[in-house]
Amino acid sequence: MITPKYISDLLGAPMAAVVQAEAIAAKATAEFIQEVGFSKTSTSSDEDFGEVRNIIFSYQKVEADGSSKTARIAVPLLTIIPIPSLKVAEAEIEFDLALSQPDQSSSAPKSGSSIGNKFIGDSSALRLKGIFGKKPTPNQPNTTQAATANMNVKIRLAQAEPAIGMVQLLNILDNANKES
Amino acid sequence: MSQLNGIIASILSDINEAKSKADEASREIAKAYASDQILRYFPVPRIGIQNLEVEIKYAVTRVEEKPANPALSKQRLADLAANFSKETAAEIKSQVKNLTQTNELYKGLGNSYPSDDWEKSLSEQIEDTLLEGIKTNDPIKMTSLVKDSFSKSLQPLFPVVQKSASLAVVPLETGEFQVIGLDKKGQSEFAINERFDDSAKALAEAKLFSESLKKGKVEVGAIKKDTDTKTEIAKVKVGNKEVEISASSQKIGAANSKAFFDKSVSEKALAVNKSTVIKPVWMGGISSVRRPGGNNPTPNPKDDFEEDRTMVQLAERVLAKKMPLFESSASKILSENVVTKLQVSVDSEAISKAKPESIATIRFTLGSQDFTLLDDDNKTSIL
Repeated sequence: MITPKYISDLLGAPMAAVVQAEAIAAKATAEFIQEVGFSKTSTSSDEDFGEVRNIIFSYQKVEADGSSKTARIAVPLLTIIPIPSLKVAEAEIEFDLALSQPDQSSSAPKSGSSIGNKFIGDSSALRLKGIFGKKPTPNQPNTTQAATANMNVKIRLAQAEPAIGMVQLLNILDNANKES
Repeated sequence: MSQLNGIIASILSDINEAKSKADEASREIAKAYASDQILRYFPVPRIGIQNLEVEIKYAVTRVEEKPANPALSKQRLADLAANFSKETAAEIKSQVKNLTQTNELYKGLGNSYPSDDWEKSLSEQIEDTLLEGIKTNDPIKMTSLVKDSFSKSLQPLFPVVQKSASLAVVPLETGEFQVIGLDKKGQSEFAINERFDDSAKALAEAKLFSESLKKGKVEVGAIKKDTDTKTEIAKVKVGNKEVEISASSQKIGAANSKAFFDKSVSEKALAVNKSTVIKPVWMGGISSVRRPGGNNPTPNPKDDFEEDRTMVQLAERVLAKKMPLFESSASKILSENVVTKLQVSVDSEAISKAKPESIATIRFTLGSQDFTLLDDDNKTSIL
């Protein structure tokens, strides 16, 4: 028997997963950059990354006086190969839940202060739980053990600009790194 | 089982909490990015909800009607009861006053009866009864309760005349009682001069007088005239007791005073010894089949004293006329202040067992602006 979870957990988990997945993808990109774009040797001046890995071209360069000379160009490898970088532009989550409704009095109160008065009503004690259920199909008997869902949720997510607070946090951390 | 608003509020709250979980993930990632040499130049993944659609199936388990603001409706009902009581008391007072001036049996109460204090007391009694009824919150129960209570609580406010065919115990403006003799038309003919401080003593005296009349033991003696009060006073022997009775000189007129009192006493003696004639049904009498006790009822003796409920009936008539107005006003106040509340269940198991007609669906959509924060200048932020 699957234990019912709070709706916030069931909704929050896929949303957080999208964010975390993107972070994993970004980390993979960073690792690609580090592995492909830099070569770490014992003599490297940069102890974190090592030396930039370059591709060296040599070609015959014709001088002004008509003579030819072998020239060499070093191009960082990263500038000429595509860096795998994935970003979730839009995500759509849809799922069906079979809700279970605990007694209002026995359900756990929500964290933090609850705003309630006689006009709005106080719902702080009510917390719904649910499990993933199968989509109800009309005129068909219930033949499986799975609970029939009575809540359908569709969430469309898109990349958001960083929040002001997030930008400030990054700046602080960045400066702290530079100062250390 | 909860109210639908509580369930929706819970879901909205869960959505916000879910979004905060995604933001928390972004925050942790931001910290990790900042400490990484390469990732620090990467945008931190952060998602925004563009659109969120929720569809919930629920079962209506109970429909409740509750007062939206019980205190307000109670106050309005209390105000209505206060106004109604004042108006009703004023109308009853006016009619009682009219009765004291037109009905011989109540004339002794004088022109100043009922007093303003009496009206206030009556108004308070009516209001108290109505307020008791208001507690039921049900206009029908309220009315029946009020009707029952009125007859009990208001009775003491109305003086009652005890009356036989020839005598009556009547209230006086001093609060005392007096026994009067009635003529054939029920009009006051003479009065026993003695005053009684309660109706029981007066009734006992009236019964003694009546008994003596029946036995022929009432004898009119000496007569004297009181010019100040313009009355003729006769000493009358009632059994072994001697009492004074008086009649206005105007009523006696040109007749001999002694003859007037003798005639009056003898007529009353005749009247108390005469059995009540039962009118046949065809003359408007009561049908024997409808009378409890069979076909041969005992005629009501003429010396029996009965309560004259004219004044109480008058008040009851006024109340009966006005109560429907109160009922409709009270019903209106109660119906105006009632809200219907649905108790619903979103439990999937309960829904699977619920009757199809009690199952409903609610859909709502939240757009990106529903998750937008406002900055300090109350302008929409860049999020």
